[in-house]
Amino acid sequence: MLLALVVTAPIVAAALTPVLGRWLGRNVAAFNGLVLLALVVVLLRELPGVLDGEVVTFSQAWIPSGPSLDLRLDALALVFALVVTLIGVLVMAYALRYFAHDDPDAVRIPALLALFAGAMLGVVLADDIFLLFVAWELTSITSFFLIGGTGKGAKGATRALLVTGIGGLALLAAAILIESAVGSPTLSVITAQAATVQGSSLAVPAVILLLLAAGTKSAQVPFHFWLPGAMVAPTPVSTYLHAATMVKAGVYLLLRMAPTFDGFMVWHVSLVLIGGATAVLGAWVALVQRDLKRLMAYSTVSQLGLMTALVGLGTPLALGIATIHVLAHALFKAALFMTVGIVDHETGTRDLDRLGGLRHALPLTAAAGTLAALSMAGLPPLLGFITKEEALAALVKGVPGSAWLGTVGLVLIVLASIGTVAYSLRYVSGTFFGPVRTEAHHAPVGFELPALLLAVAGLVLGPLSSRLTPLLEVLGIQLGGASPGVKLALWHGLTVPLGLSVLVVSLGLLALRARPRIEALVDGLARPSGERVFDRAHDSVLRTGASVGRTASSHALATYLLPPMAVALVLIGRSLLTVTPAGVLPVSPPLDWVLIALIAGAIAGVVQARSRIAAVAALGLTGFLIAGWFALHGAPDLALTQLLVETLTVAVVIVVFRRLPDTFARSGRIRRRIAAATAALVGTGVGALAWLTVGRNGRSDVGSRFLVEAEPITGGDNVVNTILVDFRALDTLGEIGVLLIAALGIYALVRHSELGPLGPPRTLGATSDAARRSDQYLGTGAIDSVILRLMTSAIAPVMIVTSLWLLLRGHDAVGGGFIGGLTAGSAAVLLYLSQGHQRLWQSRWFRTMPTVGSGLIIAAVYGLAGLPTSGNFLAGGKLTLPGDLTVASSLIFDVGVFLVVIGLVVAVLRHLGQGLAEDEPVAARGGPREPSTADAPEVVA
Amino acid sequence: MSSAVMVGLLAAGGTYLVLQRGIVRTALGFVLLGHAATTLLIAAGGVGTRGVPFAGGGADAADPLPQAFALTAIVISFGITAFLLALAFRSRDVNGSDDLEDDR
Repeated sequence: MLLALVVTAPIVAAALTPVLGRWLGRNVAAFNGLVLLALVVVLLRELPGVLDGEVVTFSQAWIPSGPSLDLRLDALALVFALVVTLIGVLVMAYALRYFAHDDPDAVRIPALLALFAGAMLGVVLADDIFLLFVAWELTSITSFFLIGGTGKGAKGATRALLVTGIGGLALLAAAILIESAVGSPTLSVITAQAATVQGSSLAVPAVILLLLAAGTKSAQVPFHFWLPGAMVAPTPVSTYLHAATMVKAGVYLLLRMAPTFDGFMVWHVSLVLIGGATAVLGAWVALVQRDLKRLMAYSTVSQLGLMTALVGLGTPLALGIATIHVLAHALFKAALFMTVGIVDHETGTRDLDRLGGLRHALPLTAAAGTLAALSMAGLPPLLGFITKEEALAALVKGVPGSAWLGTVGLVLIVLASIGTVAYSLRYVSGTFFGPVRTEAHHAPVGFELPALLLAVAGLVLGPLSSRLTPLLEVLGIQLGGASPGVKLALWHGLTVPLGLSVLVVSLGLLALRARPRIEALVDGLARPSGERVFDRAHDSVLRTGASVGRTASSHALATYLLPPMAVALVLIGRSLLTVTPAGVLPVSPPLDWVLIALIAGAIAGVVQARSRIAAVAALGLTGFLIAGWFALHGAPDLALTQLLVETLTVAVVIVVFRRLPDTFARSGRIRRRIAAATAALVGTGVGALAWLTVGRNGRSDVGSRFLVEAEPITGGDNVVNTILVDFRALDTLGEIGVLLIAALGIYALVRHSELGPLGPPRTLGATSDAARRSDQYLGTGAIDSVILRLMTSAIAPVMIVTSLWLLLRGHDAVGGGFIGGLTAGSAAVLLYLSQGHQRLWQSRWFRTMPTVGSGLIIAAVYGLAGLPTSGNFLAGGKLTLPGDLTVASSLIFDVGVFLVVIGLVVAVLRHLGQGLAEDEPVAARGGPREPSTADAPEVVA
Repeated sequence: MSSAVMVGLLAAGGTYLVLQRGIVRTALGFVLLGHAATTLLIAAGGVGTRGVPFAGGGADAADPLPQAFALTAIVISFGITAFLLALAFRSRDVNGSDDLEDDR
């Protein structure tokens, strides 16, 4: 439970941050800091037990027969979790003063940092390898946003995301391989079955994939380039993610897997070589950087290389000291980044060529920076000296079973350490000492304090390092299987590591003096730039994708439609050949044939019509004839629906046609021929399929059951309506959802489109308010007829009443929500045609959003209302009204349907039916519409 | 037999129109294709019994299930038609014509 709290608390804090940020502004970082501080306390309470070798676990089932939410706190996890929370507290304290009051990042960044902290704690506490993967990916994603992936840091953030993303996929693949070798995704089980893993043929691929995962995350050669590129992030982010915690996730993964691959030579050799090479490259490239943040980034790369090489050694001492060096590095590197941020903040530059002498203006920062840099260089009595000393001791002892590997590792790390001493001292001397070259503001003490605390912690822990010996002990036992047999102390006597340290420091001082020559040498080396290779690969992938996409993406609808139609025809043709008709096709009565002849004529009319009005008239005729066909086939509800829909379709088309030319654009001859041939094929195919498969069966079993059971169950006589609102009400709910989306789509297309949205109706050219108002109220409809206007005022209310009556009786007779809604919609159309758009626009009843919205809400709430009593969504049942009337409760659902249908019709009329002048200027393509909309009043739904 | 002919005719007419230039003719084509689909549904339910499917309709009652499907299908097609016409309307507004082929 405790561990679940540790992981979720920062995530909850992240969710609360934007809300609290409204009141607290940038001080919200303090809230997040306090949450993390509480976690530090919680974790420290576990420290004594963990030092005794105890383990805290938490387990919660997650995906059945899949990964579970297993958390585990051992010594390794505790060190990392403490680093994450402790540095988190100080970074939040630092962020408190880093951002300006009105900077939106002042809330956004702390929120994302807290989310990141949760993800990172998930990585280090996960005991399930798939859970570790999920948390790992979450850190990559939060890192993307923290670097500024959506803003000015897009390039660096995208590189970082893609590189670490490749690593994430590799981790997933490795997890699958290891899980299938062991048969369990639990890390503690995998560790216990090291022999099984190493004996499996999957071991080598798994090691390669793990190296890819850890190497990308922890910026090892050749993937190191993303880390300096990520330095566009604000300093609190660089401090937390790209120095102290996230980049160490790779090292954590290697440490976690180290017991599993202990003695597996591929593992040891590759880690020592990759880590050593990274350490050397990072250190010497850092020495020639001018930008302080890039210097620090390369320094981090180098230090991560050192840790990787130590993990590669695999001895209890090496693994234990690698873990303690994670802590030491977090302390000094976080402090260093903070001081760089302060220097940047107060002088406006991070360029070493323009800095110097800042110890006068920023004494506390100078103290913090100097202490931290000396710890990084490995000078006594700081914590960095202790860990560097023991690292050298571990290297001198070497790798069991491979004498050369230890020697190569030792040489590489000594080379790297010389560079480290040189660049550490260069940072101190170039920034804080020497002549003053740039003016600096004084920093508030609160801004400098976090860095100073971190630096002093390194200073205190050096002399007190013997207190860390129990930790080293338990780490060595848990990771390396034996006690390291070393007591941490400043003074061990005249030992080989001490001698090496003296050598390293003296050579480092020499290297610092010879820096210009080294710079020329490093610049002269033609280093292949990982950044450039990556960019080239990235661009060529995008280009290939675009060129593949272009062949499939045509802007002509016909080109899109032809391939699916061809596939459909092939499928139909196949079934025509294989299916033999079953049952007897009933003989059609003569009236059917008459109707079909008429329909054929009407279809020909729609297809042939050159003018829009003729086409619409023929279309309407087709619809009415189809309604007749429905009536002949025993479907009065359908016939009525079809009649109303056809009327409304014609009305809608007319409304839209007012704004379109009178005749259709003429298609070319080739297009007409292709279309005609396709149409003939599709028609024949669909007709043949219909002939084969339908009309031969009697009534379906379900249909027959509904006919018998509908009335007893629902109390409704109209079986079609009971199916709609009772038996298959969930379907209907989905369908009115579609209608709602269509209404919203129309609304959005017209009122909120990027391409010149239309304002609410107003008369062009009207200047005074009075003139505008009178123009609005006196507008006429599409059909300017006094008789129609008079008739409408009498008929429209009758139609509305009728629609309600149709709605109410729907359960028992022809009618229902769809038919009632369409009737009421027809009343609105009549109103629109006779009295004009303004009348409708000003009506309080015919509004788009309130109507469709309330309709869907009524239908959904009705569905939920039955849930507590019956346990079913859309349960149905009967309601007793005052006066001993019982009605089916599904009437409420039908009211929702009714409202949504009305809302759709209203959306068309309100938004498409706006009567603008016919000669209204056409806006330039894609450009802004005429300026008159700029001052238009707020849009009314 | 007759319903198969009708479904075929509606599908052919709809296909022809959908393949033309301009959103309005495409929309008209979709209306015809919608008719083809709804009539196919009804025909699939059987055209032998043609009584009104009310409770107690007896042996002659038509199958209510395809009718329920067809009813919502009709209304949904109306929604889609309205949306397509809204596209035509905006296309003319923004591009000057409702011609799809030139819309790039």
